[in-house]
Amino acid sequence: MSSRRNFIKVGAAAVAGAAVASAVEIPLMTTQVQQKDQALQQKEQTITQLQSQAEETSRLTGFLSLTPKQREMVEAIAETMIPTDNNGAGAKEAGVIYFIDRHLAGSYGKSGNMYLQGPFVPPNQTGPITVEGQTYPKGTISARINAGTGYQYPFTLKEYWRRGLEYLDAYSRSAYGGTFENLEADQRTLVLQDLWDNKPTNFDGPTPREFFYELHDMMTAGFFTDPLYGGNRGMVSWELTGYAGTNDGASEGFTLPQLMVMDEPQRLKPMSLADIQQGGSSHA
Amino acid sequence: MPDQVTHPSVDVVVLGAGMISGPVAAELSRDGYKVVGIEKGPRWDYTSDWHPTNIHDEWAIAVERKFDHPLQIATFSIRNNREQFALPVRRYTKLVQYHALGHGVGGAATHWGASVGRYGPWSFKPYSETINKYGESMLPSNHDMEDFPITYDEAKPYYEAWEKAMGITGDNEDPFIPDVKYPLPPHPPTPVAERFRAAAESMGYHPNPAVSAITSGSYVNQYGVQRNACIQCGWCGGLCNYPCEVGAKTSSHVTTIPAALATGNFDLRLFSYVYRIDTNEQKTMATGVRYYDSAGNIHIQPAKVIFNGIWGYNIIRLMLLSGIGKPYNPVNSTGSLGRGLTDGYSPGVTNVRGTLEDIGGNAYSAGNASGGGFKILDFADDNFDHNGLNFIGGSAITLGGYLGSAPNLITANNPAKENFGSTWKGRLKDNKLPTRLTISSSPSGPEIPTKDQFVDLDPHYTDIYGDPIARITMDWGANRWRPADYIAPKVGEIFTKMGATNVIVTKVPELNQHVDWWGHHMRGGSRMGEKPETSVFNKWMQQWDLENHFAASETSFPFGDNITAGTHPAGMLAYLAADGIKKYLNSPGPLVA
Repeated sequence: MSSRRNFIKVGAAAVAGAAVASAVEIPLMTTQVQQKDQALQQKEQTITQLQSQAEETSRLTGFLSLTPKQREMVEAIAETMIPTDNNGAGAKEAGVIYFIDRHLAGSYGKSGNMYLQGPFVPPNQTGPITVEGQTYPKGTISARINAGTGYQYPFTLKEYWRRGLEYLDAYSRSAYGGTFENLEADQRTLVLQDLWDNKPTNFDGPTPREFFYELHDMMTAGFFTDPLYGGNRGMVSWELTGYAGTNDGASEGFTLPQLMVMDEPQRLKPMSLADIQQGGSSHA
Repeated sequence: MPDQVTHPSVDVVVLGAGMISGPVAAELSRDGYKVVGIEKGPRWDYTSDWHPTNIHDEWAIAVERKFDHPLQIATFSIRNNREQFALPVRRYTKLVQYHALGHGVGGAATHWGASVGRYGPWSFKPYSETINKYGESMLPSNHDMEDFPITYDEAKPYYEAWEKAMGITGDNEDPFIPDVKYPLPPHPPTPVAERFRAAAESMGYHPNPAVSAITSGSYVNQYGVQRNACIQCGWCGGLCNYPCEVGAKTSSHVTTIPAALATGNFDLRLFSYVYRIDTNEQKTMATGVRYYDSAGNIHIQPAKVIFNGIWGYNIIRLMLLSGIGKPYNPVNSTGSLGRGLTDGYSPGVTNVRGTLEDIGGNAYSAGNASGGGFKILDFADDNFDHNGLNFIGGSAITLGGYLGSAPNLITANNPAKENFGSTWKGRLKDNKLPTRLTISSSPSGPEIPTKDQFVDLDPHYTDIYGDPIARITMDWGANRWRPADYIAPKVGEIFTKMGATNVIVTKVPELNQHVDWWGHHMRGGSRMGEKPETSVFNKWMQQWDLENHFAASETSFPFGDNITAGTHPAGMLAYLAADGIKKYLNSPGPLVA
């Protein structure tokens, strides 16, 4: 950055030595350059801020469930799905990986609120199938991935992730010549798209598309859910979307009845559950 | 070995403490009868369990379903026809989570969208009205359709009692729903709703404020139970998720159970899971029920009368487990228990959209789940001429409710190949601050019950106690989406009149969806009717062949009209059942010859 500034100054100085006419242009150019510098500086500061936020995030926390290899993979998936870019913070700064880790370690990973009794019969079968001695000529219903009947596996979600990541790792190596976390960004994107298209043939439950679905749901959950759950650090996703979290508008001087019938969007400052539990404004 | 306890006998045992059981408990205990209530969940206290500082928690409530029925206790299974193996619903996903059963006092209505309204005159006699006006050929050849054994006029006093108890909000001017006097005024309309109202009215339709079971003002019901007004916090809906931190969202926990408890005649047993209705040897009289407590001990509760107000398909399940009623045989269409499923939910295929360029707003702003909009019934029921058409009924069209009530997580993502990465993330920027609005509608039609749709016991799966779960055999019928193609262009015209641009009407392909998770708002299966051969309960909600067993639910409906959530007519049936039970206790015996 500073080398670029020097280059411009050198250029202006070189011009200054020429004809009088160009002396008029020099102050304008310098102003424009200064403005550009300021904008670049601000952008740099933002990126530096984000970087240190991300470093801080990683310094302050650890992992309860993800193995070292899984951490690298999940981080790489998260950053591919929700990148840091000119629209601001992504999964990295939000700490999406911590949301996922905590959930895999807890009730989500243990499939705590799921019905886990057998027999386990896959959906989407045209039939005939025989289950516990009874034959069903037309198989089963077609279940959308996101229907409550879509998941018919005899294992918990933690195991589901373990398998999905293992299959993803093997697929990346065989189809793209490297581990997922070490592929270039555009190749990582292709791998994820391949999941959606069910291209890999090595997945033995979940299917590639099912795993993509679960990844997408949990990555975005880690990005959008209240920070108390470990993700969405600094409410960065809510800054992006304009979502106000638990803010009911009182801090900006709005009442709920006013907000209710407004047809002009009002950008409220995002607030979290922790904010209102620590005594921030709740309701007008 | 678990202990077994037999309790002293009471007049009435009420199963469940939710929306339907609350009125029965209140009515009977207030009349001096001794009542025991049996509820599998806890008694929520909205001032602490649902405190504002922890209730606005999307993950816990919308995804993990913290306050709803835990799936590991019991689920249900689903298939489209008898030749299929039925799959259990194993998981609450974002698509289905809001169709969770309730758990605790208030039941599922602690978390519902509270969008209500009466069934009108046609809804009670859809079979005879259709036959008389259009002929039998309007119905599929394997239909199993029957009328309600009561008329709208006979239902009116029970509607009124329910509406008063609940504090229903709406106006009284809908020409298709006569003789209504809702106790609370409607919620304030949004700018979009106003525009819809003006456009619809100018085109000769009859817009009325959407009817809502969320209070629009503070209120005291006929039992003296006080209600707070909705504070329009904006966390209400999000696809029917949030319990209410001020008790403005209506269910039994803030309307009728407190009334029952105040009498001193009502003994509420929590964390108690009913698993059998006991009868005498000849199965002519119920003697009581048995339930598990939270330690697994067995309790026997004798009673003169049993009122069954648990979740609809579980009414059927409990009767089948108990060996009462005549199970439906789909092979030869004999029997009645489990018969006549008629669904109550739209396939949800949106086929008309438009854009309002000059109205934006906060996607999360204040409001509640069911107020603020207007509804027209001009395209519903037989309110338009169906001659030459290939369907019966139609849709209510409701538009313009509050923009809020959909906090960000549930609507955050739509997994797809193109929906990740920087371009997708760019579309998220400021998407909770839209500068223009998309309006849309998903017209549909009511499900006609057919002989191949029913509920029975699953031979492969059990609940946590080892009893078979309910198995649902059903699929969408053509009458669900045929009206869509007829109604959508007319809705498109209203959108255009509202000033919408880019109004797009798409055709709904036949059979584009099959049921893959059902259970919620299911109607029929334990229907009331004129004839004991084809129905389970008579017009007093009394079981035909077990005179001291009464029940009410959406599964009591012979026909599931789709112009409203079935909760409103089901609540009416709860009051009808309470009246029937009072008649019975005064003079035992069959109430219908």
